[in-house]
Amino acid sequence: MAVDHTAARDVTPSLHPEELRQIRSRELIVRFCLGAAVSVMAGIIANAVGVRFGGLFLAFPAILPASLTMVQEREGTRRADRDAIGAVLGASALVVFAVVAESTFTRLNPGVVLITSLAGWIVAAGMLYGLLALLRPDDCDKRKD
Amino acid sequence: MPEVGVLAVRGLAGGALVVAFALVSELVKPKVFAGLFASAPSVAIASLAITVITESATKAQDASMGMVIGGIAMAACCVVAVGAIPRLHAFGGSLVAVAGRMVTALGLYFGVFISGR
Repeated sequence: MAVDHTAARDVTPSLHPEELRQIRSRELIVRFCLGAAVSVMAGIIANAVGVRFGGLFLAFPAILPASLTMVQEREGTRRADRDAIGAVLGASALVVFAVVAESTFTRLNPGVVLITSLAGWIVAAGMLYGLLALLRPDDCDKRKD
Repeated sequence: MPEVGVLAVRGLAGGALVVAFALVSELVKPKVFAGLFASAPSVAIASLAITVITESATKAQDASMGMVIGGIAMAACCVVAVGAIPRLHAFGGSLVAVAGRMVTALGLYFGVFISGR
């Protein structure tokens, strides 16, 4: 008889609005500044070297080290490690975003392209998370966060 | 719009979208699922939207092509990140992963677009 190894684990994503109270404004300011800096850097590189080369930096998770350090400071190494695993999956799904955008930009309305590409990223990231939850359910267990 | 103005709008839009995805990340559990949003395409959406508005859809398509290479490099560095983060902790491990991603991206870019000319 098959044994369900995931029975004792809770890997289903859920919303927790009460967590918003724990956010520090300093962390949001740091993230805003890093996001703005990467966007400006990508723009400067695109102007100086070329749009296609600048595109390399659109899939550049430059805020990752700072984000993980903030999580580590606030919640400990174990949580930061788990956050990092998720960030790596999200970054991998950026390939899908880019492929959808590249293949539709000159055919569809740009707004539709961006929404479709974002939908592609959400589906790909969700599937990668589902695969991880299937293969390594302990890493995705809410009770062990 | 002058170039400095375009860069400023690009920065504001990129920063705002990074914060928006960070808020989503704080709202969801488990932690691995929340981590997905740390790598959401916030900078890409902002930059491509500004490129379409100030230049053209063709330029945005060209930028997306570069992003495909960047994304493949990022996926290739997953193994580095997963191995390095438990050993070097969050900051050191992710810095190694980002550095590895950069080297891979530049190698792929030159291999695909420069040497192929």
